[in-house]
Amino acid sequence: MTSIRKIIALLLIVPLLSSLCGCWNYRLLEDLGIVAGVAIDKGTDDKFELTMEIADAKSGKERMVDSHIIHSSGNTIFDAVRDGISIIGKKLYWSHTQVIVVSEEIARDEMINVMDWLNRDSETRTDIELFVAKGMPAKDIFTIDNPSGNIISFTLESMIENETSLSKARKTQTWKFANDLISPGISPQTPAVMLWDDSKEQTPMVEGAALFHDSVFVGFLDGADTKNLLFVQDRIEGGLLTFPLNYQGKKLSVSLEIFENQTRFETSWTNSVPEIKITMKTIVALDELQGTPGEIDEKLIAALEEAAQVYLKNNIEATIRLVQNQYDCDTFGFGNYIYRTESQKWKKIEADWDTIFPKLKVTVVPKVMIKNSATQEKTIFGGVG
Amino acid sequence: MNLWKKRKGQEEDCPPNEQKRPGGTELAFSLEENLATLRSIFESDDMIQFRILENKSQKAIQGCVIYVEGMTDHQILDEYVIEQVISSDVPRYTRTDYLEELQKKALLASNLCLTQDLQKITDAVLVGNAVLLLDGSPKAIIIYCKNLESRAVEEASSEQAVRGPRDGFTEQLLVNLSLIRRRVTSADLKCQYKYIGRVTKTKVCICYLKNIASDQIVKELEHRLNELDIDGIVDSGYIQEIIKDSPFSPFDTIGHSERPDSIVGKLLEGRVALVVDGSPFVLTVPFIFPELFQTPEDYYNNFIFASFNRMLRIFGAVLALFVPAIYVSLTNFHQELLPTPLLLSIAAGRYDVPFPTVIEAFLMLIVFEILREAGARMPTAIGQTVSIVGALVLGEAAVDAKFIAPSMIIIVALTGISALMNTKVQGAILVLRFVFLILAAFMGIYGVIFGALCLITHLMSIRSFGIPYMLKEGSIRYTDIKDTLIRAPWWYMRLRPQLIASKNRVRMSRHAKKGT
Repeated sequence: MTSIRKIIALLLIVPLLSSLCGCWNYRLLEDLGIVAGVAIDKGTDDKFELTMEIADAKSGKERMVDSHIIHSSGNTIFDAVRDGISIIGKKLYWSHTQVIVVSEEIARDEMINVMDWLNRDSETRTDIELFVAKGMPAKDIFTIDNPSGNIISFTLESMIENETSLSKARKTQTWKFANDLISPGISPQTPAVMLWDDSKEQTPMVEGAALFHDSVFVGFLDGADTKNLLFVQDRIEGGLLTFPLNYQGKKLSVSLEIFENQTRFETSWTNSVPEIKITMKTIVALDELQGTPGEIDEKLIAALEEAAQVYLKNNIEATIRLVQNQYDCDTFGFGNYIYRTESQKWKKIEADWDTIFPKLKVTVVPKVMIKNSATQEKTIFGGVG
Repeated sequence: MNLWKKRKGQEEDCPPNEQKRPGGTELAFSLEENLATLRSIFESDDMIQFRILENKSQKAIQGCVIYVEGMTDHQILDEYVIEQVISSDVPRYTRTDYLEELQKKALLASNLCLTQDLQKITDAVLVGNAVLLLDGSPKAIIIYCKNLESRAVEEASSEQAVRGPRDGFTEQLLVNLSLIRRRVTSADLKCQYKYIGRVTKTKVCICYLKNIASDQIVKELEHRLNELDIDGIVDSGYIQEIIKDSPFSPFDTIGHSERPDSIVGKLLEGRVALVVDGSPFVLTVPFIFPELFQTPEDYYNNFIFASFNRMLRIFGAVLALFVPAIYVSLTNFHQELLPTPLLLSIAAGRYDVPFPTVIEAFLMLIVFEILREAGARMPTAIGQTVSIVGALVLGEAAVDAKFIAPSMIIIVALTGISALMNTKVQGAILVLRFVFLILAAFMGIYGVIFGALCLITHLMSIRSFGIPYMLKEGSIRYTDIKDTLIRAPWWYMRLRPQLIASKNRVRMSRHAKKGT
C-alpha cells in the first residue's frame, strides 16, 4: 500500500476503535435517578418493600432540587431495587445515598441480609447512615407531608451529623455496623428515628438508639440512656449534663457543657471471671446556673463537680444494668476490650460471653473537671462580674 | 513500516528564479554597455531612475547614478555624490583609477563601497542604495544612502508590561540591533549578518555574547540558516517554523519576543538571538518549557508577587487544558466523585437540555474560539458591539433557551480566559484542549490521564537545539525551581542555566548578599 493509503486507513480505524472504549461506563446525568435515601420494610408475602426518595431537578426559572418517593418490592433487596426502573424509568444511582431507614421487623429478621447487599454492591458507599424507625413502618418517615420540598434524607443526615453537640444518638454508618457485627465481643447499634408532630407538620426526629444482639434487633434505648451509652463507648464529643443540686440550702439547677471526655476500661479477674472498671475524665464548663448562689467560688465548683460525678455514676451504672438485664447485648464493647487486650483469656470465655455479660460487675469512676464558667464569674443577682 | 519514513524522491527541484543575464556577471569598461545591461535588467520598472552626469569642466568624465525613487536619501545623493561628481576638479590621470580617486577625494558620503560584481550592484539598487557608474571604469561605487519610511519606536503591542521599559522592536533591522546594542555595551556581543531568501534576500542578524553562549548552538543555528532554501522571508515566524526542532509539536521550541529588555535578558543567560529585518519579533534559541511561563515583568517586580503570578500562570495553563475534559468525565463517568449538592445542581441545570455534555462542550468551545478570532480580526469600530453580542447572546440567551446548561458556560469561560492568560502557550493549549475533551468523552478520567501521560512523554522527549525541553521541570530541588515555579530573589540567582550557558555559569559573585 502506498503511504497515503496507509494514513487514510489509520485515520479510519482509529475513530472507529476509540468510539468503542469506555462506553460501558458512560452514563448521562439525566439518565440517573439519584437515590437520596431508602426505607426498607417488610412487605406482604415475605417480600422486601423499599421506599426510595429520588432527588431530581425541577426545571423552570429557578432550578430547584426536589424529591419524590417511589415504592417497589421484591423477594430480595436487589430485586426490589431493579424493579424500581419500571416505576421511575431511570436506572437508580446509589452512590449518593445518604440514609437507610430500617423498620423494626426487618431489623429483627433480615438485618444481616440487608447488610450483605449494602456491602457487596459497588455503588453503595460505606458511609451511608443507618437508622431504625421506632414505632412505625420505615416508609412513614419518607411519606410525610413535605411542603417545603426539602430532601428528607439530607435532613436526616445532617441531623445525625450534628448529634455530636447533643449526644443523644450515635451516628452509625454501614462500615461501623459491619465492623461491630464482625468484631468479637461487641454488638452493633443504630440511632432511632421517629416522627414528631409539630402543630403544622410532621418532622422526623432522631433520638435514642436501637440495640442489636449480633444482628438481631432487641430493643430501643431512649435519649438519656443513649447518652450514658455513649459515655461508656467513649463517643462523647459534646452535649450537656443537666442535674439539680442542693447547695447551702438552695435548690440549683445546673447545665454543664461537655467539652471533652475520655473513657478507659480496666479489667480485673477473679477466678477467670472478669470485672470491668470504667474510669472517665470529663472536662466541662459551667454554662447555666439556675438559682442564685451569688459568686461562683471554689466551694461551689467543688460541690458541682462532686454532684456531677455522682449523677454520672448513678446514671451510667443504671443504664449498664438496664442493658445487661433487659436486652442482654454487649453494645458497650466490654468483650471486645477483653479480646483486644487479653486475647488468651478472651478465648476461654468467648463461647460463654452471652451468659457472663448479664452478670458482669461494672463499676464507674467518673471524674468531672469544670474548667471555667463561660463568660461570667458571678450570677446576675449578685452583680455582673 | 514505511508509513513513518519520509517520502523520498519526491522533492521538486528548486526553480531558479534568476535568469541568465546578458553580459556575464561583471561590468564592462564602457558606460553605454553597462547602462544597456542594467536597463535590460530593470526593464518595465518605472521606479528605477537613471541620472546621467557629466563633469562640468572635464567633458570626458561621464557617469550615471542609478537609484530607486522613494527609497533613497536625496540629501546624500544630491549633495554628497551628484554635486561632487559634477563639480569635482580632481584631474583624470589614468582611466582605471579615476573612480577610486573620486571616491577618496571628491565624494563626501561616509558609507561607500567599490565593486565590480553585477549581482551586488543590482541587489544594492533594489534595496534602496544608489550606484554610481563612470565611463571607462569597470567598477562601480555603491552608495549606502537607503532611507526607508518606518514606524517609530513604540511600546510592544503584544507584550505590554506595567513595569519595565516601554520600547519595542520595529521592522527595521538596524533599529532593532541598536536597541539591543545600547543595552549590552560589551565587546563580547557579536552580531553576524546573513541573507536568507532567494527573492526577498532578507537580512538577518545572529546576536550572542561570545563568552557565555554555547558555540555549538551558534554553529547549529548558522548551519540551519544556511540550509534554509526558501523564496522569501516575510516574518520571523517563517524562519521559526522551518528551523525548529520538533516541527510537528504544538509547543514552540524557538522563542520570540517583541521587547528588547526580554531579549537582552535572554542573551545574558547565554541564549542566541536572531533578529530578522521586516519583523518586530526577535527569535531566541534555545527555548525551553519553563520559558513559556516567564515574562520580563517577573524580574522587575517584587519576587513574592512575581512568584505568585508565575504559579498562577502555570495553574491557569493546567486549568485551561484540563477543565472541560475533567468536567465531562466527572459528570458522565464518575458521578460518585462529585459532592452531592454539586451533582444535584449540575443535574438541575441539565434538565431539559437537548445535547449530551460532550456535544455541548464542543459547541461552546468552538463558539468561544470564534468570538476570540473575530475579536482579533474585526475593525475596532464594531469591536464593542461584537463583544456585547457575544456575551449576551451566547451566554444568557443560550441558557434561557435551554440549549446549553449554565454549568457549561462557566466551564467554557474559565478555560477560555485561562488560556488567554499565557500568550506563548496559547496555541498549544487550544488544540490540546480538544484532544483531551475527546479522550475524556470516550474513556473518562482514565482517558484524561492517558492523554496527560502522552503529553508529558512528548514534552520530555523533545529538545530545542540540543537542550532538553523540560530541562528543570521534573526536579523539586531548590536550585532548579528558582526560576521555573517561582522567581527567587536576585541574590539567589547566582548561576546561569545549566547546559545553555555551560561555558560561563557564574553571573554574580558569592559575596553579593541581600541588603548590600
